[in-house]
Amino acid sequence: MSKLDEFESAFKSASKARYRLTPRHFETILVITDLSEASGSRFTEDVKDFLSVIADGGPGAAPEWTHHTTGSGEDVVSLLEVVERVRPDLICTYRNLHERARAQPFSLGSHVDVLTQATTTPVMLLPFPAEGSQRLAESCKKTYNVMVLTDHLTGSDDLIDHGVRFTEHGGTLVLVHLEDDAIFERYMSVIGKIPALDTEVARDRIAAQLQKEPADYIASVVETLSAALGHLTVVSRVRMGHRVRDCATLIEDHAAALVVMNTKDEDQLAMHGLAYPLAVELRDTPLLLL
Amino acid sequence: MSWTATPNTLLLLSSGGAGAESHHHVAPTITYAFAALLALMVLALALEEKIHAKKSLITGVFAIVALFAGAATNILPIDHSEGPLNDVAWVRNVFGETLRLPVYIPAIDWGVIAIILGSSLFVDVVSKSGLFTYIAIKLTKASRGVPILLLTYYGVMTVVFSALLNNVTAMLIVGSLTAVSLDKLQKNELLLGFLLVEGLLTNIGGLLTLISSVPNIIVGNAAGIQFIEFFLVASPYVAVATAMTIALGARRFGVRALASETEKAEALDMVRSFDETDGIESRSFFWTAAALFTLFIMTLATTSILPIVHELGMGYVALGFAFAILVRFKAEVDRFYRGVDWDLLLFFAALFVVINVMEHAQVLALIGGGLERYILSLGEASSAALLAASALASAVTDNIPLAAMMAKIIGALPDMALPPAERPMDLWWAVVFGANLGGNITPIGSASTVVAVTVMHKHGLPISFGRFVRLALPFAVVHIGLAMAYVVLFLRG
Repeated sequence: MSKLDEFESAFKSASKARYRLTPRHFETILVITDLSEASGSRFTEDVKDFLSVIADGGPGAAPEWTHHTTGSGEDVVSLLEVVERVRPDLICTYRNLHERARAQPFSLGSHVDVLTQATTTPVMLLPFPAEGSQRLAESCKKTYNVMVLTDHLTGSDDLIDHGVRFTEHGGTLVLVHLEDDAIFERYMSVIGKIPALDTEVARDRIAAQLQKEPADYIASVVETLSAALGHLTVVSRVRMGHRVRDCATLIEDHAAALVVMNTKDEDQLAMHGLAYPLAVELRDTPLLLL
Repeated sequence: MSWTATPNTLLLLSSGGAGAESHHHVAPTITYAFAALLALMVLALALEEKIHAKKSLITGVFAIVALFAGAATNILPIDHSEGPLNDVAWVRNVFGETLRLPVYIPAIDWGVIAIILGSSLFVDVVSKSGLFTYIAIKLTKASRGVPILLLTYYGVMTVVFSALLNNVTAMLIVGSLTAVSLDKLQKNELLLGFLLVEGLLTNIGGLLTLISSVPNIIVGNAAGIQFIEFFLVASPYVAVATAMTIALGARRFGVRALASETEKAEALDMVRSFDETDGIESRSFFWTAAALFTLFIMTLATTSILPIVHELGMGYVALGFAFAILVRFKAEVDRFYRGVDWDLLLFFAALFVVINVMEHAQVLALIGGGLERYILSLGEASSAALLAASALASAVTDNIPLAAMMAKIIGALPDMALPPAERPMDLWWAVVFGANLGGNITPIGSASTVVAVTVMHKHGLPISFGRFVRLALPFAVVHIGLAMAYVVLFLRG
């Protein structure tokens, strides 16, 4: 490595992404169900109760809640027109919305797929309503433990802002950065075949740097939130692991009442690589998909 | 022609100079042939980039050819008298012991090699402590991201780093930080101007101390200038030239303060995100390195008055500190040995051999004669003329051969035989200033301007030879003009 590159790397490493808190306000919240009017209204009240941290005010005025029930013939385009008309700051809905195969465990359903990808509005994806009562599932607890989960935490101010906004006063915000060890191993196996690169040095240094950046970023989150709010406990979890299995374990370990994730993939009209399998897998955990 | 060894052979081999020409006669044709060989080497060094050959190889080839030609023409100090030392080179030490040495070994100025090897090893290890990046980032934060303050701080840092480390390391540190910080501040349009000003300032900073650049070491050693004396003479010029360069650079490249409070707040936020402690892996090593670095500078500054140490010289000091700090990495010192610029060291060694052969071939006496006739005969303007000539020569070829040759030539002038207090020092200073400042005229004039151009290319700012000269020439004219005035007005004995 040239000396020039050596010094430039040192300065790039010293130039760190810092978190800047931008308070989030939700003026209009759209709850979309495929229930009857009465059940849908009850479900909306349950959601209000679940999200009391934003329903009860906080900074800004209390939001306006709108309930929309999709008719049996309503297609995805019509649903998007509703979203366009209401212009909500948050959409709340549940898995397999408007799907016949509600028990289908391997997808979110076409309506939810489109809602998460074709709109820029954050989508709160809730568990399917309880059988019979059609109320919000009992697994939805108050959001004292909120987890922000991503494989690219550094610079994700938007994710953190939403995590902060949805965490109850005195609650815990768990920030998780999970490096996919399968991808890492694939690169390491390639490096292992290049004589000019020291495999052990590459493994140690790359793994350390991959985890150092989010750890530094989380340190700036802690610093900022301590100064600005003070009532949140921030927990850092930076590690390498399996992108679904380890995430599920972390969610369980921290009893996360809400998981905040990125879903928008800049390169394709499909859900972000980490978000989709988790959204399908974690059927009882409320997810906030940005 | 024959060579007869005398007890003065050591002097002839290792320091030569005036002594050499008085001991043997060389046919003019041989002198001219060797002069042509020297000219060819200088040309090859000037075209180093074009012929894609490293300096050490170029000078190495010429050293081999020159030694062979020297031995074949019988101009080298090889004993051809009958006896046990027949056909070998030898030296006699102060105890009267005769040592057989290959003729090219005493030709090399090992003091200079030791200073360069020791200080480069020492600086390399110190840089691993994160000390230099810590200082650089601290200054970046102190600027609050205001471009004019950033240029001023980086300019001063370039000068100080060039003076205390070397101009190449200074340019590497400041140039790479400039690229990263201007990118962060979204002021990439200023990068070219910043890098150019910093590149020019490396050669200004290279004038500040005796160890700042190789020409300083060579000329300073030959002239007997001590570290403190060098600093005291050079610092007023360096201070004025630095201030002028930054002011000119700010004006020429539109580097200004920030207008609005919003811009100031954003810039401050951006530079605050630099973490000066990021490169510090061990706090104890950081503080050890900082303490040793301070001690290193202080020891170099006082070498001439320190008992025992002054007998061993600055090369000993540099090597001593290098090995002291290498103890921290005792199991992996080979990593640092690999990082040594062997091309530079072998270049010096080969260059000293070539110069030594040229000395025996009377080529230096020939050049010295020409210098006396055309430049030194100008009276009060002679030092200014020598400075300008040295600057022009340094602009197109390496300043190290120039310094090495001029050190020999000036050392052989009759005035240099006067007592130290009466010797005219302005000629030495003219070479020091000219050799350093000539690097500011062209992109190939010094190793640090080559680094500056490399950083420009790396960041998508290709700059041609002509454009560099057009941008740098006004600065170089100011630098050289100021130096000529300084030498003539203040340094004439």
